[in-house]
Amino acid sequence: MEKISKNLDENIKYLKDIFKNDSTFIVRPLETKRGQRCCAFFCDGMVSTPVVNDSVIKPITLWDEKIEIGSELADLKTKILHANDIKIGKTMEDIFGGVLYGDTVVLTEGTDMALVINTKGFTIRSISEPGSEKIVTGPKEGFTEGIMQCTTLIRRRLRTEKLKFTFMPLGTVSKTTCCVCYIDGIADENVVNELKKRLKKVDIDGILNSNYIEEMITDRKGAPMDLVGKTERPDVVVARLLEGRVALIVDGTPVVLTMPYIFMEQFQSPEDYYANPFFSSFSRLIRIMGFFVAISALPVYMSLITYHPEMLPSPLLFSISAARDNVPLPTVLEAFALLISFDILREAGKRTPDVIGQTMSIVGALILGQAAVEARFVSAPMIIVVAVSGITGLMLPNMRALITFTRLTLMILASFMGLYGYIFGLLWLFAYIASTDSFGVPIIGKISGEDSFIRVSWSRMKRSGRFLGGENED
Amino acid sequence: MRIKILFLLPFLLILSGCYDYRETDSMAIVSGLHVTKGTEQRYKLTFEIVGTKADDRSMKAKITGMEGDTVAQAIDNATAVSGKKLYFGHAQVLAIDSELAKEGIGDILDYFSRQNDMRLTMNVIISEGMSGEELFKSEEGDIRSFVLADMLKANEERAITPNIELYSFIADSFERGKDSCLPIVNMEENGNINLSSLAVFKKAQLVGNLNEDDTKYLMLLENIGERGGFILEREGGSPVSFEIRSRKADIKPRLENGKILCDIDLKAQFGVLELTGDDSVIVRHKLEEMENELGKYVSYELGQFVDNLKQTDLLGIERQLIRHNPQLEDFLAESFPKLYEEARFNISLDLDIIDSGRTLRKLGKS
Repeated sequence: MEKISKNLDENIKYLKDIFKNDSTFIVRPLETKRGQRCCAFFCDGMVSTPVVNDSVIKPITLWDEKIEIGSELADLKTKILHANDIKIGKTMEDIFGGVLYGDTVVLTEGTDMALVINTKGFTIRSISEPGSEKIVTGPKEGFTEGIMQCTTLIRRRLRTEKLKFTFMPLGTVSKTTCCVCYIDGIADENVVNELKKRLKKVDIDGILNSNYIEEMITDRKGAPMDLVGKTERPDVVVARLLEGRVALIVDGTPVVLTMPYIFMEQFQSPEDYYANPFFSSFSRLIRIMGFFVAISALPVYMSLITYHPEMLPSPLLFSISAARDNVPLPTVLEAFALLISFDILREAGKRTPDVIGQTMSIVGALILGQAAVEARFVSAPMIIVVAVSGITGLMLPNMRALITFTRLTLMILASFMGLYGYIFGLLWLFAYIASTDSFGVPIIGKISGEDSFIRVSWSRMKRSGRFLGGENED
Repeated sequence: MRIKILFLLPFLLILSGCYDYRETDSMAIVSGLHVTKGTEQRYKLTFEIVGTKADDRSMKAKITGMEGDTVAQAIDNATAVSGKKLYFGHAQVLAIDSELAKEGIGDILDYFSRQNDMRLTMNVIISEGMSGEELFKSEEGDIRSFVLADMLKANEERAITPNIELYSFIADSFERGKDSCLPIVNMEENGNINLSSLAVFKKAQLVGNLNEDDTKYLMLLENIGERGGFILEREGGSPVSFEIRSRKADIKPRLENGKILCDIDLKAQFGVLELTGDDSVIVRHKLEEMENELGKYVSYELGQFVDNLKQTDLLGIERQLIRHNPQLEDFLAESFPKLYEEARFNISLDLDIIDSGRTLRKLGKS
């Protein structure tokens, strides 16, 4: 590690060389009224200019007292600078880390250490409700891209000294700040240590989103589903921390990871805990049903009409048979073609602005669909089944990957083997889920009667911390 | 290892998959079929095929007839003509001509019991004096097989004729110890279809008929149907209609001193359906009187019925005897017909009239 020189000019030259061709890097030489030379370094745009002017430059330039040799840094820190957070930097790496993350670094003549002053002032999106996790009743706050704002949102809800935040930089180039968050005494220490161990092994240039880390710390690489919980809601993170889980906040992304992960989490919504338990239980059961409809509607329909038509009620078979009259594609290809068309429309809708998106949905879904049926390109029942499958798939946005992968696999199996293939596929899915762990905890979890398929009233639920990890203290 | 499995999977699917794959639009969906003796070949099969047109979404039936020396050949011939494979998975009715049935229908049943796509729950009926074309011809444009299936269900519910499905008829026809029966369909003079009597089978051969009343008592003893009706012709009074509310018949045959003795216990509850004549009101003492009369009437009629039934074992007496005395199986194989002719039936009834509908009084009487 590069050491800081006692010669200020050498340091300035060194830093200028390092930040050569970077116009945002500002070097501001300073001098006290008694002639003590200093220099402030910061990145334009990352710092708050008023704070730098008022808390760093102004106090130093107006200082009119003698500074004893050897106590420059101490005097600056304790008497001169007006900042709430000042650290001592001993190496050039400390200077780089501070300057690049919105701090102002002050070096003085004759000292081989630096003051790293917190003057962060970059713009962060204000707190708003996360679009993918909207609820009707309950808090509307969501995480933002600023890590400190995220920790604040959690801290505000958990005013206990046992709430711990451990920061660590990740990414060899990006040096992204990550924060491991847990409640001491409730979270399982093994999970905390395992997470830290896995984070230390992360070897990547840059981290732009928490998903980068998720894929590197997950238990089963290449799994077609999430093995780490994800949320943009602070209330959800707090609830999970209280259950004994560990959260990982990554700077620059509002998506916070929680672990260990339980499969049933995907069917839970924060609103389940804010609404009437009967309604919450009903909604949860609908979501579970929606998952099965999303993965099963197409393979079961394909199986029934191509392998087991005797299982359909007679009027339904006649109706389907009439609808398929003169349709050129066989049922299996028709299903794949329509499903891919649906995904194209969905993908296109995601990328287009709202106004055009609505028009496109109408053209795509209504006009194209109807025209395709009338032109006998596809049959109407198939459009209905694909639409049902697609819409129920959108009901659980966090399970998109699993639904898409499972649906396609089941469709392939059903197209070759009918309902047998579908059942084999479903058994594989259950076996896969049952054999998968997340940080040492089986993701199938503990199916309790209190908060899994249904949610009972809060008064009948046990203390949440007993779910995982240590016991809550009474 | 995983790579090997992934490599094998496509072959596994392609080589072993797609068995029995078929598209709905490439099948001719048969809703009903009729089997009779052919003029040139042994069998003539008439198929009612449901066709649907997407344009007006209406279902239309097409009737196709084809002959063959075997049932399979007739079906193959029909497939060759229609261009689409005949699909029997949704067939509702299998009608067999009575004249053919008199010669035995074991071969036909053998074919239908072997085919994978043949619906074993399709209803089997005997057509009397009707060709397949006449049976399936519909002037209203409805699918006649569906109408017949609905009629059979309704008739069974009202305890007029039982609804016999193919698998149970096959079981009764070829298993020892019980004779079987099938509803008879014939056409009335006004062109309406009538389903009210039964054809009796011994070893898949038609041997006789049961009239409407006998059919009713057979269903009563077999616990078939939900709402059978009885008309009680009262001595010195006007007839009263009753409807069965619930009933449980128990037939317990036994071999005693080389003779078959059969206890028939019938517990039934009736409701008054219709009062005729001058009876103004059902009062308690009249109700008991009526119950006694009903008991006598049913007891007499049942006695007559079981005595007349001794030519055939529709009640499964032999099967019950063998079930309770397996050691007698060989003995009964030879001697059952003679023993059954001399069998004595002991009928015990427990009948209750439990309701009289919405009113006790007859309208217009005080």
